[in-house]
Amino acid sequence: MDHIQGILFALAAAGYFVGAMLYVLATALRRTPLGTGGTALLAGGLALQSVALALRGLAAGTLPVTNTPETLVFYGWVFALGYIAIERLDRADREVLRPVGAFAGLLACAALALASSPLTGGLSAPQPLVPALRSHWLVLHVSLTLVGEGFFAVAFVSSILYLVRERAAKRVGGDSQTRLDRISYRAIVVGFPFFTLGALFFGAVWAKHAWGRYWGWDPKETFSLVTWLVYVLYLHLRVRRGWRAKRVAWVAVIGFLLALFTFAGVNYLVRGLHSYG
Amino acid sequence: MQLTVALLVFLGLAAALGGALPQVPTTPNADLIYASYGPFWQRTIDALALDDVFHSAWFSALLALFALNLVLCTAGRTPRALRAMLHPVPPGEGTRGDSALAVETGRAPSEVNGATRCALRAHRFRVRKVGRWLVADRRRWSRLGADLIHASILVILVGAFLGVYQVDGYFAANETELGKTIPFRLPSAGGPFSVRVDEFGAELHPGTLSAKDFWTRLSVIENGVLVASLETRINRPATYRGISFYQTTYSDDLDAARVVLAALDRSAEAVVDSVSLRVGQTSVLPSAGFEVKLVRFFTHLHWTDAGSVVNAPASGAANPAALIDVRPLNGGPAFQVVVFPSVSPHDDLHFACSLFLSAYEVPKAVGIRYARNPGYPVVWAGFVLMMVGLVAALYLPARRLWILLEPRDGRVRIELWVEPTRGAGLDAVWVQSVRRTIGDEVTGGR
Repeated sequence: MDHIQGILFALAAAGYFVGAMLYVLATALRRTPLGTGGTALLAGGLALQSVALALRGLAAGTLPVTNTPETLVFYGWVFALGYIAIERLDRADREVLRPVGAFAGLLACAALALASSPLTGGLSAPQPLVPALRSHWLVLHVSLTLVGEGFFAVAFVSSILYLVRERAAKRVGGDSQTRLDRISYRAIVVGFPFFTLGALFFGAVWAKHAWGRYWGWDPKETFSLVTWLVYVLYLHLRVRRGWRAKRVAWVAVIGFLLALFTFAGVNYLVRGLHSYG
Repeated sequence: MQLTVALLVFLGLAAALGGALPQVPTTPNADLIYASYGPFWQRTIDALALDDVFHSAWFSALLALFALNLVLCTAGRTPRALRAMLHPVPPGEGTRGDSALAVETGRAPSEVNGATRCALRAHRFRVRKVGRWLVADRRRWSRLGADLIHASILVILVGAFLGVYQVDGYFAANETELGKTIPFRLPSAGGPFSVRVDEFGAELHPGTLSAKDFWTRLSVIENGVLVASLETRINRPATYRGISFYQTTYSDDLDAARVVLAALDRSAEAVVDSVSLRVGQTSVLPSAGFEVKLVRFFTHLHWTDAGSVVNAPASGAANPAALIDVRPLNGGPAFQVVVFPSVSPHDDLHFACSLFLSAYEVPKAVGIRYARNPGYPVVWAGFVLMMVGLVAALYLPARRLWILLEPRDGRVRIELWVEPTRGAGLDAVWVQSVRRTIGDEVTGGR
């Protein structure tokens, strides 16, 4: 079973990587069929990784997000899922989305590679769950939080592309720039409720069941709240102040960097109840 | 709005500071950490309450200002949203519909009116007449989405505030304390009762030495009578009279450790004396010439970079050791030494005897946290309200169309005007779909 999982993960990573390269070629050569091929490979990688995750989940008896390598694997999955979902929702913007897809594919591939590397200890056979993680809230809390962050990742990449292109072209506006801005907004709109439900709501419910209090200003809880506040700020600035483009792009970039810090940095740099290692 | 943005930024920065800096309530030895920064930084951190940000006056004031801003925003916004929802205001006099969405037909005006309404209802729009326009609404209620979200935050803050009436505490018991009774005399919890720790243990994953679960069996006693038996497990608290008991820890009770400290005569290579000690207990090894006190016991002794010793079970393999205060009986200077189960070959004591642990015993202990917080249901209600508001505002935006039916030269011209909301542009899929359906209905082109 481990052998099959390993093959599936490797094939998924290959699909993400080659799909990303096809997106790059599609953008450079302006060939739509190459972009279509990229989407097919990314979707294929997502399907293979889904099967691998299901197999691992069956072996572990829970959603495989119980340690750093497993969570990285899941992170890669949500990167790909977030991009495929946004491409499906924004079919008219497919051509503009290709570079975003390239980055999403590379991020997903990198997450899988990191999960398998000695840096994180590698993806070993599922271990029996420690008592603290034996809860159905684990599935809801972690999965929905990461799904939200998958969409934030799409917004992050769109925003970075926007900022880089704007700096390179030294001009503001243009149809593709407007579309990148819109893609970023759409991704955050989709991802924000998932993040709220998973990180804050179900996190608080699980904390109450496990530790007897729903909020204790634990560093992980606190930085999740800070991340949430940044996206609240983004939505307010965009919807109520009418901010567009460069200014909100920076907010989206900061939001995702904070999300990454909350996911990984807090575990290793700040001691708290979430310091599982 | 500007205040809202500023408050969000300041709240975020304040929370980030509190998350990054060691906080006294949650970080062991936070005060020592700040002391190591030097007197200036220690005074600054103390003055600004950066060592306990979330309980500081300035953070509470920031939260209060945030709540006030929310109340004022909601009070201003909600009536407008309700009016927009219930009493739509037609487009200004002279406004024409979007020509790209216009439809013309030769049918009678009354037929066109009926067909248009039918087409709109097929798209689940609610149709009314306002002035010379027809107004078609879908998901009117989701105009209140943002207001629901704002209200939910206020509800959550109220729930958090109710936490000041929380009853909570912690008790522990080790293996030698089974039968220990903890009295409860809590305000508004009925009469007094006691909780007795009957039994606790660990459940292992089959075929492994890995813990699967920790459990504790408790008995509730009122007036000397057993009234309830509870079992609490990790992630599965037990509840009595609204008070929940949480299995929070299961670990070695190092403070209840007992060791047998032995003295080895190095020249004779024989044990000349031994004594049994509990933590904090002092005794004498007369043959060795020492008075000894067991200061602390470690199951996993670990030397820190600063040269101190800590118990670090996560650090790796077990490393049992005892920290012993030693006072030579001959009046020499007292000193402290770490003693292991075997004599160290690098023992640099200038004495005839070396100390080692010939036996040790550390009882297991459980920690039970109990809590009753009247704010819980309010906080959960706030979260549910927030999710309803988010779904309404972000996933199910309101749709409103204004339709003008204008008879002109024996024909009827139908013009559509899309009220601007999120996702409501001319090229929006739903707008084109509605236009097509109206066209099909009024022209009979189905």
